[in-house]
Order: sequence, then C-alpha cells, then structure tokens
Amino acid sequence: MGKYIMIIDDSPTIRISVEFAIKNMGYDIQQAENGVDALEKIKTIISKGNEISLCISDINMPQMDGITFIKEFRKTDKFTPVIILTTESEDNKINQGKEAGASGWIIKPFQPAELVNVVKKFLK
Amino acid sequence: MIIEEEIFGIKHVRKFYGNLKEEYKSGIELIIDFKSVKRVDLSIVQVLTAVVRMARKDGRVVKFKSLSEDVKNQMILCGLKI
Amino acid sequence: MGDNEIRQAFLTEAKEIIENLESDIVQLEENAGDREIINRIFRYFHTLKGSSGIAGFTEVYEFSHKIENLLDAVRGGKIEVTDSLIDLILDSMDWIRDSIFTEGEGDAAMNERKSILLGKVGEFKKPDASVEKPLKSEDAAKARAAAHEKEDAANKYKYYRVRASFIEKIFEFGIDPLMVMEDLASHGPIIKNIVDKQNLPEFEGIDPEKCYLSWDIIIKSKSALNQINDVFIFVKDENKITVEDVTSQYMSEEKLHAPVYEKKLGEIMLESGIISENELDEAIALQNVEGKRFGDIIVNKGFASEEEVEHAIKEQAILKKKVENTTVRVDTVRLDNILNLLGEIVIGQSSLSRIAHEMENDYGTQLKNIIYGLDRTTREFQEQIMSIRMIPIGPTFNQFRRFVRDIAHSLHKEMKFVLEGEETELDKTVIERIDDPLKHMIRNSIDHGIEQPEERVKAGKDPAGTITLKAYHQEGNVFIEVNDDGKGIDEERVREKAISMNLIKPDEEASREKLLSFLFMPGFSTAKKVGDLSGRGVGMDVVKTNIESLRGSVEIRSEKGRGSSVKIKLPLTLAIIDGMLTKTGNNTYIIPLLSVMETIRPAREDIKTIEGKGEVVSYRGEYLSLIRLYEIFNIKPRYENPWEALVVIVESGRTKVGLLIDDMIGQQQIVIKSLDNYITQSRAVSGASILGDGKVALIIDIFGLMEDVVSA
Repeated sequence: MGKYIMIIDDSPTIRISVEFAIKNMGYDIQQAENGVDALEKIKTIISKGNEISLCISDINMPQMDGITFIKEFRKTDKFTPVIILTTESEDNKINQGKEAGASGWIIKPFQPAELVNVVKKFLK
Repeated sequence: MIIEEEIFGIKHVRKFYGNLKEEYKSGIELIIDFKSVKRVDLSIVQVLTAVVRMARKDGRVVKFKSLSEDVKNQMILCGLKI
Repeated sequence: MGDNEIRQAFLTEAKEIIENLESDIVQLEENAGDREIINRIFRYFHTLKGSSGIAGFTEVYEFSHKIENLLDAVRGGKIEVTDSLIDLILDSMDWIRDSIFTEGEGDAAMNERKSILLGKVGEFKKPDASVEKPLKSEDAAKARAAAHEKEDAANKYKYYRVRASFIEKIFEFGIDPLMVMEDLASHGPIIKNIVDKQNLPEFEGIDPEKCYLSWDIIIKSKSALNQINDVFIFVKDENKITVEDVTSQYMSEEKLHAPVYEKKLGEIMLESGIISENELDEAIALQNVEGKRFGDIIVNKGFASEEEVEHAIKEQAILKKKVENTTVRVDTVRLDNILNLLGEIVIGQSSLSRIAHEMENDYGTQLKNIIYGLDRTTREFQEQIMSIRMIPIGPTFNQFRRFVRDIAHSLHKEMKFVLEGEETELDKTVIERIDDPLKHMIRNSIDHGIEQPEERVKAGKDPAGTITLKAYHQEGNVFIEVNDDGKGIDEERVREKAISMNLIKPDEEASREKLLSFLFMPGFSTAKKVGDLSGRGVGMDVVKTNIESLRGSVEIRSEKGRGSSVKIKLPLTLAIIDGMLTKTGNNTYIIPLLSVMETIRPAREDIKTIEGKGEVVSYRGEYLSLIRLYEIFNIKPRYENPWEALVVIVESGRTKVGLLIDDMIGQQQIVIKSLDNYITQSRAVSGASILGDGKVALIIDIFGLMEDVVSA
C-alpha cells in the first residue's frame, strides 16, 4: 500500500521544485495541474488501495482553485493535512484556506529546506 | 489486540476505539501490542488514557506490549504514565 | 532531478505563459472592461513570479511582483484600464521575455529599461502606494539580521512557559497536536509538563476524533522566543497558545537545588567566594560593636567592591522573594480549627481506649495496642500543628532595642542591651501578648534597678548598666528572664511599704520571698518619686495579671547591689494544657497541672475557721483558704466533710488555696475548647474540654477563682 503526497500547482516549475525538495522523504509523489485534476488523481490512487498522506496545493489555479479543491477534498477526507502554497501578496488566502480546512502554508518562493521543514510539521 | 499500522493515528482511531470497547466488554485481559507501531498521534493517546483510567476504576489492568522508545516518549509527553 | 531541470521546466513554462499573455493583452485592448481577461493576466504574472523565484530568476521575480501588484489594483478597480496601462503591461512582458530568453539578468541596458518601466508603474500606483506589500526576500533579509543578533544571545539557556490548548476539531485541519508538542520538545529539555486531562471524557463517552488535552509546559532551550513561537505558526490563531519567556524566574530557581531559605548577606558573599570566612567573622564582629550595616563594613574594609555587595543584596532579595513564594500564609483560626478537630479525634480515641480496657479477651489487647500506636500518631500530629503556630521570639526581643535606648536616654543612664535565646520559639498568641508585660519589666529595671552612671562607678561597676533578655525552653515550658545588674530591690523599703499598707505587722518576720511577692500587689510601688515612666502604682500587678491570663507565672529574685531578675514561665501553647481531672458530684473539673502543688486528705483537726479568713486548711504550717468547689458551682457533692474528701493545694502567683473536691481521676493532656461568652460570667472557668465519654468538663481558672473568692 503506497502513501502519496499530492503536489497541485498549475506551474510545472513549482511542481518540479516541490517534488525535488521532498522526493527523499519516503513517499510516492503525484503531481496535478489544478483542483479538478487533483481530485481525479486522488480518486484513482485511493481506488488502488493506496493512501493520501499529504497535499501541497497552490491557491491560484485555472479550472479549480486551491480553496475549492480543499473544500472538495475535505468532503471525503477529514484528516489528511493540506499545505497551501501562496505568495506574500495573498495572505488573505491563508485565512480562506484555513477555513476550508488547510493545515499549514508556505510562501513562495521558498528554499527546498524551508518546504521540507513545513512538511515535517505534518509528516514524521 | 495487535496494532498493524506503522503510523497509528486519527484515521484509525474510530475503529480502534470500537475494537477496544468490544474487548473491554468481553472482560478478557486487555493487552495492546504496539510492535509494528512507529508513531501514534494524540487521538490514540487520548483513547488509551481514557481506557487506562476506566480500567483502574474497575480494578482491571491494560497492558501495552512492545512499545518503542519513540511511542513511549510520545505517551509521556501526553502525561500517560507507562 | 535538480536545479537544471527546474530551470528547464521554468523556461518551458515561461514560454507558454508569455505566449498566452500576448494574446490576452491584445484581447484586453479590444475588451477593456473584461474582468475575466484581467484576472487571467494577473494570474500569469502571479505564476511567473512564483516560478521565477523558485527557478532562481531573482530580477524577474522582483519585477513581476511589482507588475502583479499593479494588476491586483487594476483587478480591484482601483486603476482603470487605459491604453497607456496596456502599453506598460506589454512592455513589461517584453522585458521579462528578454530577461529570461535572450539578454539574461544583470545586463546594463536591461536595467535601464527596467528602471523606466518601474517608474511608469510607480506613476500608476501612486494613489495607493501604501498597499504594496514587502517582498518575502526583504523580510528574509530582516529575519537574517535578527538571527544575527540572536547569535550573540545564543548558547545561553532560556526558560519558556508554554501553554497550549487546542480546539476540539483540530484533527479536521490535518493537525496532530501531539506532533506540535513534539516539535516544541525538540527545542530542549522539558522541565515541567502539566497535561490537563480534565476535559477528557470517560472512555464510554469519548469522541475519539476530538482533541481534549491541553498543556502547560516549562521548557529549557537555547532557541529564541520567535523560534518557539514558530512551533505554533499553523495553530496559533485558532487555538489558545501562549509562550512566555520566564528565564528570570527560573534562573534563580536553578541555582537553588537546595531547600530554599533566607540567607544573610555574609552567607551569600561567602558562598559565592567574594569574601573569606575570616573576613566574614571580622565583619560580623565589627558589626556587633559598631552597629553599622554589614555591606558598608565589607566595603570599608576592602573585602569587596560596592558592586559586589549590591549584587549580593539583589541575590538576597531574589531569595527572599523565593522564600515568600514557597511559604503559605494561613489564618491562625484555621490552625485552631484543625486543632479542635484533632481534639475530637483524641476524644474518640479515649472512648475507644475505654472500650478496649473493658474488653477482656484477646481482641481487647489487640485493640489496645492499635490505640497505643494511634495515640502516638495523634500526639505527633498535635505537636506538628503546634509547631506551625510557633514563631521565634527574636523579632519581639529586637524591637526593644530602641525602647531601651530611649528610656535610658530620658533617664540619663547608660545601657547595654543583651539578647539571649532569640531563636526560642513559642506560640504566636503568647508572643503577641507578652509584649506589654516585657516592656513594663524592662522599664522597671532601667528606672528602678539601674543606678546613675556615677553611682555605678562608685560601686565599682561599669558605668553602663546591662539588661539581659533571655529566653529558653525547659520541661515543656518557655522561660523568659529580664535580668539587670542594678542595685537590686531594697527589701527594707519593701518592708516599710508593706507595713504601711497593712500587709504585714511591724514586728512580723517575713521571708525575702514573701516580701518580694508584695511587689505584685496592686498599688505597691517603691519608687521614690512619681516619675514619668514607672512607679505610678501601675506596677508589677498588671504584669502578673497579664502573665497569669496566659497561664503563666512570674517570680522576682533580687540580690542587693548585684541586680534583680524577673523570671516568667509560660506554657508553650495556649491551646493544650496538662490537666488534672477531678470529680465533684457528677461533674468532672479540670485543674491545670501548672497550678497544682499537691493533693491531700486533711485530718479533721486541719480544718478550722479563722476570723477574717473564713474556712482554712492547715498545710505545712500555713493556713490556706479552703474553697469548696461544689459551692462555687452550686452542685451536690458526694462528701461535704473535707476529711472524707480531697483537697487540692493550688497556687497562683504567691497565693495558695485548698480546693475541696470529691475525688481525683487522673492526669491528661487537654485540648481547650473556648466557651466564648457562654459561661464566662464566672471567672472561675477558663474553658472546657470534651472527655472520652463525651461529657463536657470545665477547666478551672485558678487565678480567676482566687480573685473571685479570696478577695471577695
């Protein structure tokens, strides 16, 4: 049974750099381009008997933004931590994210080590 | 009762709580084997605290088996004496 | 996967974004009010900013941040979409493209173009300049500077008190409070951990997916306060988290592994190696002679610097505070209540003990053994409680220094004041009430006892008189002596005065003891003149009354030319007395053992009636007034004839009387229960106690009884 970390961001640069930062933490990693893409991929992962351990999601994305994604995700998964990726110009998004059920956040741009530190607050 | 999970936490606590309730009612000696467990979370420790408290009241014993140092430290941090 | 791949991914992404941007900006020219297009353009710059930052294109990151801010204002309707704005966006996009794909960052021409563009951005932004948010990189620079400062303070342990209480549904945010607390624990050793489990329901009623525990932790850590705060960064808003730096409280505490007690300044300076033992001794000796402050002596002698003394004084203050913090103030009424309850226990015990004695089988013996053990425990318990009420007499003694000095001064006498046994402890109530009698005696000594300096020199004495106040324990009592080295009491003058007051006949032989006892008579004063201070007739009789009301006694000794001594004997406590249990009629009366001299069965001829003295009993050649207890309490005795009953010889001060009782039961420690205003009209009763069989026994107040009967 695999344990997955979801990386959800419309920017491939961000997705790749997030994956680069956390790839050695012992989890399988799945990228998604937006909320809709993420929800579909999560469904597939779970249907194969695997588990989602953490989601790292951007806020501002086409099709389905991060806030909506968290709300949808929380309908079926109450407890998995969700870290939102945000920028300093959108700190009101942090509150919206928390209301939707986000666990923590990291502000872009970040150093790989910063991201790892945040992830470690939720996964050990 | 043997716990199979490595990371034993909130996602398992409801089922664990139900099982624990059943076993306690059956009156058999409660032994919880943690040999696979690497981590617990607060929800698990809370249920354990409550069951230990109840057992003490009823003059019964709950035994924790094969606790790793890490899990032991987690319990101590939550004020559960083992 | 590495930096290069991220860069590559960014280049691909940027190319795509810029293509989309171009077509969107052109569309915006045609549909200036289309919010959807403005939002998309904003998001492209937003994404570009994020990606460029990650991929290491710092200038693009900073530049796109400015454009993003501008577009945010456009999105919010604060800036209108005009041709010049669209031109600016297009030019900005071009600059970004050139920076990424052709020219590279840092090129001089590129920098110039950037300045012009940013200047234009500034013009648009002016009305709302304040909303611009600082870049994370600027924050980071500040943080780094702060971290630098911290390094100086690092390597020093700090103590933090962290209180954390979480909302019940915190698990639904993907947060495990335990993980947060572990994160905290990783900052250093936990000194104290109090986990509040009060909110945790019974097992049956628990909702396992809710959070119930909260923490109150003291942690010792080298981390800075903001690092500790960062532990709670994701939970601090919704949950009750407080982090306090309590280093100042704990630093001093850590030094004090030993039990806490107040220390003298010298002790502190000795311990910290500032002064040596010899220096300490020398300073103390000087202090006693010169009466200067210890700290000043140390500095004057050059044993330590002023700063060192000041530092030690501060430390002393911390200690003192610490001591105050580790002590509890308790109303003495509460102690009395405990003592009363203990009295009830003692009563229950003696009931049990009586039953045990009546049981003749093995069980009786077993029970007796148990009660014996219990007895010991209760007695110790009693002593422990009593010891709480005990305080040393030192402070009371010391406050007389000034008093002695002032009196000596006003009488033009020189005085030395010596204290002994300041550490002697006695009941707080006793100490409070001993104050006035002591003052009176000291005043008497200086006034009547100590001679004028020239007179003393003539007598071969030190011109300065000495008064010694001395306290000590002996046989379960406390003794306080006021001694002086004055001229002593002039027995001849006492005799004259006694004759003039008709206390003795002119030709009557009177022992020295008897003569001195007259000093306690009301109105008896031997002072030659009516002075300011004593000798106004309010004399030793008041002292005696006060002392006796404390169930104590007082005696005077004197040696002509050598001085006099007043010795006060006091019970250790007022709450418990050793009593003699006696029986008269159906009642039990307790006579304080302190007053009892002897119990006799008089012969028929020992009882007489003497005119002016009433009924008397002959006791060792003296005729003592006989008091029939049953008459005092108006009850029917078993024996009316003294030669069939018993007479207890009791003494108060120098007066002895015989108390007629039916029988004697035994001796016992008695816990006194106050009668409040209930029977106190009779001065013959000072209180009551409840006996093993549950009956109430009255405690006879010998002093009051004599006042009532003898003088009446």
